[in-house]
Amino acid sequence: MAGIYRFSVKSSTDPGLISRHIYCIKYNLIYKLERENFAALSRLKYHISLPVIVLLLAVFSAEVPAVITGQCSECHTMHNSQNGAVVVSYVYGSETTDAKDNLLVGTCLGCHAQGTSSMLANVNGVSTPQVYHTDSTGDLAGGNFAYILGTKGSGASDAKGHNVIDFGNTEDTLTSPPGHHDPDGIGINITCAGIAGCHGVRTSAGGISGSHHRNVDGKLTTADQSYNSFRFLTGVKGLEDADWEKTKSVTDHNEYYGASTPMTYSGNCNICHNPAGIRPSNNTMSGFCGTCHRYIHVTDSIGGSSSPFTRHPTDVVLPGSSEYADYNGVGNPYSFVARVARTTVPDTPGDTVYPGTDVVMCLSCHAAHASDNADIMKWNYKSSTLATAISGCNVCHTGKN
Amino acid sequence: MRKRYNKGKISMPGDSFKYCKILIGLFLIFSSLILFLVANYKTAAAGTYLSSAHGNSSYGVKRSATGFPTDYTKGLCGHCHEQHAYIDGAEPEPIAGSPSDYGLFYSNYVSQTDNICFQCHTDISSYQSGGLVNRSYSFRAGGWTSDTLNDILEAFSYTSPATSHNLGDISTMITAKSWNYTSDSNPCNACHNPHAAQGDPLGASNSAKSSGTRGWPVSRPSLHSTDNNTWGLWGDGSGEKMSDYVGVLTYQAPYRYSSSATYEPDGSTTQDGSNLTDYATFCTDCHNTTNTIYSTTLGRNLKTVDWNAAKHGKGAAVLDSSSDISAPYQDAQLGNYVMACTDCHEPHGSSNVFFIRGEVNGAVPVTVLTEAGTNNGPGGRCNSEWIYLCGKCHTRLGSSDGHAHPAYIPPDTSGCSDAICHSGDDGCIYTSCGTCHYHDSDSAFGTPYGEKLF
Repeated sequence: MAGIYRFSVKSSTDPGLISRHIYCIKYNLIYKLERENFAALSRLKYHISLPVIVLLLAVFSAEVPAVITGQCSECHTMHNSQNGAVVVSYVYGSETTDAKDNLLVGTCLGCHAQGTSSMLANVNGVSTPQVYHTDSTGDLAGGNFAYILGTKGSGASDAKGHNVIDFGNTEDTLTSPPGHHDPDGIGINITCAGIAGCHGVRTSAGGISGSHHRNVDGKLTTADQSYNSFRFLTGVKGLEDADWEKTKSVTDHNEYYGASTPMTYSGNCNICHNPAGIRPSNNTMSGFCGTCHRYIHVTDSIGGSSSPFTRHPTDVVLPGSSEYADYNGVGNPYSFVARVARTTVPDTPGDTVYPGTDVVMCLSCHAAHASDNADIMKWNYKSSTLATAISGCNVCHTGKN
Repeated sequence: MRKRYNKGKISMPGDSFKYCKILIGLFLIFSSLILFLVANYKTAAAGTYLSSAHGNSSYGVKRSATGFPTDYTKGLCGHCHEQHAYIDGAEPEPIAGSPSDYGLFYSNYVSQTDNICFQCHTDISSYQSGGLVNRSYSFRAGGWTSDTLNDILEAFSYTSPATSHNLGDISTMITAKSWNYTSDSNPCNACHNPHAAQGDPLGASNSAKSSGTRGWPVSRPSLHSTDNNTWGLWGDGSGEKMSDYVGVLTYQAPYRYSSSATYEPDGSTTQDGSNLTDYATFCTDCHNTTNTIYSTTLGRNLKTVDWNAAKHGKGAAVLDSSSDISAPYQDAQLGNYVMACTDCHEPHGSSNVFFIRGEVNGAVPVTVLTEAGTNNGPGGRCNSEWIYLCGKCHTRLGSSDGHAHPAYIPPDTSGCSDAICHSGDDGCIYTSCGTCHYHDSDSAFGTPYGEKLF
């Protein structure tokens, strides 16, 4: 852990640089305090007194930084050559070990889709969440692309997930994201990040670059940049679970942010199209999905903001009366099958759902990456056993069992 | 310790028998517990929807349409509700212009013959896989299997002189009431909870009812709720049968078609209404003394119904010297009988006015095509077509049977009344039954009769 980042900023009025500097200071302080080595502070060209640092820590304590803590070489290689051998080693499938953008030692899938039997994998000493694995004990919160390819689960199917082209599997059914505007400019060529992806800055020149360096973990209520948004989903607020839900319980899980009314399009492209990239203007998880699946989200095309809806609503409050009051049974315990979003990002995960307050969202029914069920459903909606097929519906629609 | 241990192991006379009794007792306790849990698990597993006609995994809803998945299991929500108006990236048929309310695959309600229900409940081009046949009440309860009506759309498609329950008027009615309906509600839902309604007979929509195939199709409109847990079926529980409605009075089930030994509604020997939904309470949610219901079909308000006072209801019927009734009804019981609405009326529609059944009390034909009853009746008698209906239970309706009439309508020597009734102005000497005998009537020719005439 000797390879901490050391910034050498002489002078700057650039807020970004200052911000990075502060994060560096925060990290250094934590790191060095752990080792009772206050001398490290003197290595900073800018000498900031301890009280100021403490004050800054207090100010920024709401969002706990998890900036990269390892050596640069854990993720980067200067020349992709060490002792005559290539250094790039984290690649997926047929990806080459040629030098990568940003001097990285791997690709998105190379690090996050190793196909091992573990939900978390070791990438140069860093525990890294896996979106493609064969771990039989479960999946991380986002799901598992292995279901699309059939390396895990009941068999390969394009319908089981978002068919990210980096995996090399062609989408054979869809021609564009269902519910997107036409022409959509995306087609079926969705990627992990960038303008046709979900993570990072969603512009043609964007991507995930820089997000890992400045990553903010935990409670994310700013969400104006990739790095301070929920799982680098730019614009999305939420509470991140520390281990991506490798372990999970009703008190140990992500919390998603939702709104009591969906976005309204009404000809306003800016609900998604921001000069800094595509992002949901309402900062919700469902709004984020709506940036590609607009007709499925916005009030204009779901029948308004109250019943009768013409499409199943998201970003609407789960009613506090009728059958919904019995959400998931006595006491309304949190359900991982039909999750809800909160209209305020909580400090800690909640073990209870509050009909009348909490919100229906896309992830109430669907996984994000992929699941073992058709249409990325959380449960087997196509089960030949009817009670199983509607079991997820019944978490909310308790009177329809 | 060893000593005490050994002491405890000493066998005593009768111990084996005692242990056996304990073991048997434990076995019985655990067996009972397991049976209890299994029984209750099954009860909990099959909820209201899964017990409904739509949600049945064997014969429930299953849409067959271009672009619609073939691997959705029967009863799945998606057969009626398209969550996003997309399946596999496109909207399957029918594409009704735009997504429909409640995520339905078709407009919830358009007109008398056009709504989501009729997309499946029709024998022609039904979206229900394999088609869907539904029979009339006369067929299912009356056992009149010659009735050719075979789907719900057909029943609601009758036009004059035939009649159907007017869905537009129903929509107006339920929307105006404080029953949690809105103008978006489907008028079929006035009587049926689509997430609870059962077939009757169960799973055999092309058959007559039997005691072993009973289901309960209706839910009371006045109890309507969007909460399926709250808006339950009507008729399935205790206190919801005709036998409950009549109390100390009597419900006498009509004969099944062409039988004098079996009875409606299920062809069994049960006659007391304990196997029949309390349709009197059900129908009088709307058709009572307080609701003013305009009939677009008739161009006037419907007659009110006071079933507590009506002679065919709980009101007192009088046995007079001229009255006589047909089996299974008995003169001696007059004054006790209370009829169910479905004894005479189809619920959806029929080839008769007021959707009068085509078969009543085990007999056909029942052909009533004019409200005034001016068509010929049995035997070709003019102005007497109502006798096709009334004559199924009332005898002595012939030309010289002599009704007992009030004093101002004295009978003549041949059993006919005076010129008020039998003026012959139109060339016919008979007056239609319906002239005086209709729901809530208590006057004849504008003169109070002193009691109910129906």
